[in-house]
Amino acid sequence: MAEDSSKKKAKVLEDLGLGLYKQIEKGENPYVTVPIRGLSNVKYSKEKGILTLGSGVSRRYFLNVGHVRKFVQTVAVASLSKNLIESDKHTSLRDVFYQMRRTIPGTKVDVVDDQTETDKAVEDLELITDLTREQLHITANKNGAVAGDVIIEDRGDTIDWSKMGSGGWAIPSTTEDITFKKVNAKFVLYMEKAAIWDRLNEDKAWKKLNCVIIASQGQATRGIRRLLQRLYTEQNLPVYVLTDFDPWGFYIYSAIKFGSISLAHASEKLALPQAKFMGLLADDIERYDLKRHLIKFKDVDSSRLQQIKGYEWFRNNKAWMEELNKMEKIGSKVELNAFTAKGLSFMTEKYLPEKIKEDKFLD
Amino acid sequence: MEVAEELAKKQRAISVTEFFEKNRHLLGFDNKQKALMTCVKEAVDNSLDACEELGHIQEQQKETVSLPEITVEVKPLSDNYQILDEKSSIAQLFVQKNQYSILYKGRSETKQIRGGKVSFKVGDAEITITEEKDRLSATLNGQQLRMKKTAPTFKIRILDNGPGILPSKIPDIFGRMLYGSKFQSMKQGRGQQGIGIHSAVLYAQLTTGKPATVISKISSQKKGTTMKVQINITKNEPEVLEKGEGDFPYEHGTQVEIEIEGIYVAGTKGIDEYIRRTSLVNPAATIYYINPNGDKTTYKRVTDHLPKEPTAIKPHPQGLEIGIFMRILKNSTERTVASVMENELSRVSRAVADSTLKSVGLDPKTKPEDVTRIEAQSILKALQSMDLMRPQTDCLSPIGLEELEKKLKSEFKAEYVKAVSRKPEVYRGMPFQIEAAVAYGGDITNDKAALLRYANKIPLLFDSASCAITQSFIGVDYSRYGIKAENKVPIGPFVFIVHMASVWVPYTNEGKTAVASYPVITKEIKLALQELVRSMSSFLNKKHRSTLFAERINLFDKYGIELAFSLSKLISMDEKKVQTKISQMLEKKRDEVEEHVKETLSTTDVVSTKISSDTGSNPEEE
Repeated sequence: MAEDSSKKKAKVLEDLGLGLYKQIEKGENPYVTVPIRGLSNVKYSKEKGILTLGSGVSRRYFLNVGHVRKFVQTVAVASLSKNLIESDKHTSLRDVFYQMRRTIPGTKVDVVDDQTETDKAVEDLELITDLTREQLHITANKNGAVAGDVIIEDRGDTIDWSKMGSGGWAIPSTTEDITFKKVNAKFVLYMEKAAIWDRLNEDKAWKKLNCVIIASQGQATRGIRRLLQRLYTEQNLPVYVLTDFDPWGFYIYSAIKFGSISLAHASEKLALPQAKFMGLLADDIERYDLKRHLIKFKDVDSSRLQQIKGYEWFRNNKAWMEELNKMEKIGSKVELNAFTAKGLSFMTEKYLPEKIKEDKFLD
Repeated sequence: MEVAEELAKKQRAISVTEFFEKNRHLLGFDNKQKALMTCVKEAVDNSLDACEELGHIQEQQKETVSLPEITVEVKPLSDNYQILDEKSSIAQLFVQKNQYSILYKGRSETKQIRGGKVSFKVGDAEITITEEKDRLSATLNGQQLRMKKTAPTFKIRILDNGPGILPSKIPDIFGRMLYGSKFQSMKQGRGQQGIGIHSAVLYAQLTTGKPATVISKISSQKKGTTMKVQINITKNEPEVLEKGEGDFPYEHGTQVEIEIEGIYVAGTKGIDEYIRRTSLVNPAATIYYINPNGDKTTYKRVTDHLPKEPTAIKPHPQGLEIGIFMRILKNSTERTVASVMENELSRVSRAVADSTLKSVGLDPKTKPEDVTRIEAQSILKALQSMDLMRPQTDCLSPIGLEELEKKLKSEFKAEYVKAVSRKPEVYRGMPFQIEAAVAYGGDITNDKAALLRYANKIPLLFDSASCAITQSFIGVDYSRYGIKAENKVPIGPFVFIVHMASVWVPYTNEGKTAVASYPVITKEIKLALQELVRSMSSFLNKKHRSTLFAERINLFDKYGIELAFSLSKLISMDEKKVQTKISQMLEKKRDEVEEHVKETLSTTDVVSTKISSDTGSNPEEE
């Protein structure tokens, strides 16, 4: 990290603090301005095909019963981050939580009770300072795996994704700084489930189909999303998203493609509007005879489906709305794992080749 | 003398003691712990009833009312031992502070304790008592004997400033079993069953052989009459052993002293608690209590108003039993069965009486004494199937809400007290009324609510689980009123009082320790409790708001400490300096902050203390 940029970042944080101090000195109720996260302040940009953060901001005051805790947590994270930047050290979200978990002297109040509080404080600080988490020297846990005929370099080490054994290469929290040395693949297959990835990796599907396979565990982390984006923009590899037939799977696709609601401010760096959906569709149930594998919707599934149908970027997409309506009618979900029952390599040998060959994707 | 007469005498002799022995549990003498309590209870009940009766008469005659003042003293007299040889008990030893008394072959000897060894010459025997390291041992003519500790002896003294007792009546009241004026009266009173003080006198006689010592004074007398009374067991007749004059501390009143064997326990099932609980529901009485340890407690009266005088009512057919109806018929001075029904039963008009008798085929002019048991039974059945008016309820004498609240406030220094009463209701023809009260905080320190049960102002200490009061109490859904409960009992420093007043309390057992669960009774208790809890909950809510207010005001001071710490590091400044600036800012903004906190309390759900977040975001996102 360049000395200059470190100084600049530290200055941004210090200025934030000095601004608050000045307010306090004047006897004013100090506040920070935080862009509003959440659906109300998220816009879908038709030109860019991604979610962007609107201009809505809220003021977070110290002297407010509802704000005070978050206000103080934000300042605490800022102070911690400034220290990291100045000493050129990185720390994980988990570690931030441990460092901030302390009782305010002489009280029974803990600064934070669980990690969701610090995670949110870090996200807020990103929005307030316009610095990314990585720029604040805070990393996420590594999550997900990748395999394929690709060689990269990461912090001076050369890594061959085709020789990572059964576990694959663990994708780090930040993939900004890796460089691609050799890429021998025609496309990227991303999936939400590690179990499916394991299945494909054992079949050496990446070799057979000449692709890169990437898995997350649930929602894709920023590291994975940035990696997908870079494989597309820098290596011209089409990215296919493989998910279950359920609202949650569809939303994972949506987050990869358009960006997510809570990280709308980082869409430019994370979203991939060219991603294509290769997951299960309503018609596949008939086509691959998956009726026996339907799982009835629970209330949470139905309400999640309704939420998704309300999202602007789905609502104005005729093909997707049809698909979502079909799902509602069926009132059940199907998991990719159902293919395993059709034969262990059914997916590698039949489903994926057929889908690719047809080249018909919901966009 | 004829053999039959001889036998009759014997039978009678057996009957009094046997009656007692067979009915120990019924009379409250099942064990020596309960016996001590029962003796005190009988005397206290008598005194309170007598004092109130006097007060009511004084009220009627527009005289100055003398309010109840009662002294209860339970004093340990001696530790008792049996001295046994191989087979059986041969002597008894009574150990007092500085003397031994020995009872051997009907002869009693007393000696001062000097040194560790005391010898008695009783007839030709020599008994030696040795004390070594707090252990006693005995020898008879040099032969080692065994010693067994038995229940100690207590002297119970109860003194009141009631009307006193006519000297001619003293022997009967204290010395004749089942003598009493309250038996079977249709009037609310403490001593419902008429066991009375004479059973305590008999118990004393059976355990220590000592008579009761009574002093009584009626205002006109200069001095009080003293009497030592016991029961002639053979004849069930009083025996006056001594009679004289004595000083008495009040213008009028009675004092009785008896010596009994008993076991004293402290705690919630003992006399201390009984007296304390009695004082709670007798706000007009002052009670001085000296317990066996010599601790003196005064329960002061908090009001000069005596509870309303209970009036006697005639039995209502709904709750009438055949035996009692037969007795009414037999003892009546009325000439016809119809007029008995009209005049000696409640809510039966002449027309109702006539038509009832007609329906069972009996001439209304039948002489009452000619009515057979079977006929009486059908009359009663017919009457009970009629739609009669409910009995009048003015016969009840509740504690009084204002008085009860005052008493609770002074006894517990409670933060909050509330008393409620239900309208009188009727179960099986018997009028009854429920009063309930709650006290919160102050000197009450228990984690869970305590429930104090009362029937006709008598504390119920035993058999809580089977009691309608307890069952109703745990039947209330406290969480609905925002009060947390564990095992259906509210958590917090609460004392609940439930009192059932009735001309006839239905008990579940002979020991009269628990109220039977008639649906209408449990319903009334529950409604009373719900009313209490409702008012309680709004108080607790207010209290909760004020603690929340303080908590939220302090919030900024607390978080200010953390802000100073983090901010000072962020801007590389001295933490103390930042803290000072924050404190000054807080001071300047104090009024504004208070206003703000008040607002949050009026608009938000007070129960949830968790501070809500100000930004929403999707939970399943990274």
